[in-house]
Amino acid sequence: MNWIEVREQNSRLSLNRMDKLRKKTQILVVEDESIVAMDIRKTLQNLGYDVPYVVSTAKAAIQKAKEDKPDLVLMDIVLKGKMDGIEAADQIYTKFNIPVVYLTAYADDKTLKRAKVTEPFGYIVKPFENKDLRMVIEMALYKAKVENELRASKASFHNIVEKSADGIIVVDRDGVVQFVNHAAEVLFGRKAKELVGELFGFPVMGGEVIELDVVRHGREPGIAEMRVAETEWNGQSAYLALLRDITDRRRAEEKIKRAAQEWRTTFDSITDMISIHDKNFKITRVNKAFANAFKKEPKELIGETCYEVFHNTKQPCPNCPHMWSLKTKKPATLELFEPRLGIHLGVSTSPILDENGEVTSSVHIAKDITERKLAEERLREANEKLKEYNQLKDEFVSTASHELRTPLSIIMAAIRIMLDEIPGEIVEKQRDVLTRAMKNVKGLSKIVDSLLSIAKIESGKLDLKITVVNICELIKETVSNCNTLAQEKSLSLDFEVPEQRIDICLDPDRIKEVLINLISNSIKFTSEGGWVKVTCTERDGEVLVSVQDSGVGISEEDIPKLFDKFTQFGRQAGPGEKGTGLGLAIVKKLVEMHGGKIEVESEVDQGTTFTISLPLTTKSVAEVLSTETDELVESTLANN
Amino acid sequence: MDNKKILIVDNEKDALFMLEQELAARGYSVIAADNGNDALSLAKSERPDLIILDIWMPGMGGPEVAAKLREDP
Repeated sequence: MNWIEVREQNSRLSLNRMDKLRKKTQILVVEDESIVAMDIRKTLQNLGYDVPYVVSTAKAAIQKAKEDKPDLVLMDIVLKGKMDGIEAADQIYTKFNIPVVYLTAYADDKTLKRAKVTEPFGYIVKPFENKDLRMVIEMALYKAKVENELRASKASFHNIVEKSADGIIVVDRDGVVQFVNHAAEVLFGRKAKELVGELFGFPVMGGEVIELDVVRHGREPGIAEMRVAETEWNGQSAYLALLRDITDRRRAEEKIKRAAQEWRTTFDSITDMISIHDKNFKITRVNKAFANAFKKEPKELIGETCYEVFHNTKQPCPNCPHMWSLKTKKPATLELFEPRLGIHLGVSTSPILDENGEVTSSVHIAKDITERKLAEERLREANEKLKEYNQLKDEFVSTASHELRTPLSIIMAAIRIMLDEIPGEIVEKQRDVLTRAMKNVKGLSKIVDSLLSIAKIESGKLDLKITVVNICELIKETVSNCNTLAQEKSLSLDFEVPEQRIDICLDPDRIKEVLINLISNSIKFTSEGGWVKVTCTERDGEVLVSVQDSGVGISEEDIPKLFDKFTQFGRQAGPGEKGTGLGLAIVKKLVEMHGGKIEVESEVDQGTTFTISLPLTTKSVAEVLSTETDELVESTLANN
Repeated sequence: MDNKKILIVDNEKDALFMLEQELAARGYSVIAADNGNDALSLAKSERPDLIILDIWMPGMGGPEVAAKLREDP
């Protein structure tokens, strides 16, 4: 092209193109005969091409091609050196995609054949005319351009099709797979080369979306969605199948369906009547129990207003819990009697809030509480009865106390009067008879006292009269009271108390009772010549009083039942020594009423030690008293 | 111990009897009443030095009698 033609061409093309064309086509000349090389160069330059270099060896050609990336290489087939032009051309084209035009002096078959293999872009045979040279070069450049465009197009195609997440398969009219993209390989778990040429196997019909069960190589089967369109492949009509793997989606859908099903089943299996009401009191959902209660189908109830269905009214009820829940956004409950169903209902409503915290509707649960109400009624009646019985029992304790003691005291007084010879003198025989009678009355009196005592304590009617007492003094007094009893059996009765006084809050009469009981027990169970000792110590805010004897002792198996009511331990006792088996039970209760504890240690034939501990602090005594009485009352009520 | 007058009150006649026996043997002068009203009238008329009063009596109980007695010195 000469300059005029170039300018004309430029004016026709866009600026971009002009920029490209302004750059002259660069040609690399590979020719080992230097004169020829120069000549060719000059010719090319005259033709308008840019020839910056001329090289003479194949190696140099490859090197220069790599460095400069010329637009075209003009290669002499015959070159000096190990490599000839054909080899170099092959490399240059393959590696750098630069078109090569062969320059050759002769064209023998063999050489031409070899040259053809390298896919040259043209030949020029020496000697040549300039216009021929130009034509071959232009054609080569054109061909190179077209090939580049094709290559780019293929690359784009490849990018789009292979990168697609959906599987793309082309199937011809006979159902044979012609093309498979990467995603399709993944979908079927097989390589393209295995699939191409095989029968597709699935029916292909244009336009519809079909679901396929896909058997996958090396994985569990899946589900794919297929869309088929008609297309052309290699000039023939074919089908384009787009496949989307929906296995995961399907699984998720199944899960949701199952969950909804489970919820539905649960909802319907609840025996309470459940309904959901919206802001306008319209029923939006009901469970089976609800529908059954009203003997309607669920769909008949949905859309109805709740108060019409429930109460047959035109207005919501004034104390409607649903209304309350709507207003206050809080749950509400209500108990009512439903005349139509003939049952008591416990209704509870809970508001349902949307994501803004506004109430959209509420869940209304109605529970049949008829049984519960009946049970409550029965409980109330039982309680009333219980109160009655309790009162009766308290009256009994008061009356019995009086009614039992009165005749006993009269009998005792009568016998005493006789023995004191007030009505007249008595003889020895009479004295004897009366003395025996007196012993027995006294014994009876003691038994009655014990019975009344425990009855009083257990019915909570025993009040402790608490005062501050020096316990050491109390022990001294009590021991001296028991001296005669001990002397009767020739036992030594001793006490050991600290020098200084120990003041403690207690009911002196009751504690005396406790000590007398323990001491007389010890005396009872110790044979002649033995001893009984009472000791008192202070430790850790407690006062410990022990009554120790050298008596028969208590076996290990008997110890747990020691403080039980009416348990006695077999031994020979005189008439005056008989007991009710209540003594220790009373002792334990009295000690505990003071906030204290009682413990026993014993060894058979060695002796026994009873130890009571009483708290020193006033507050704990008072506290324990109040709780003890409450506990006693409660346990008595429970026991009855 | 020289002839003090004691008024004993108890609805139980046997109890009154026994108590009377014992007190008389010890040298006291004893008057007995088996109900609250008699007790009050006897107290007024006899003016005893000591009154032994049973608590639990039908009708006017011991405490009631005591209260009434205190009203009238």
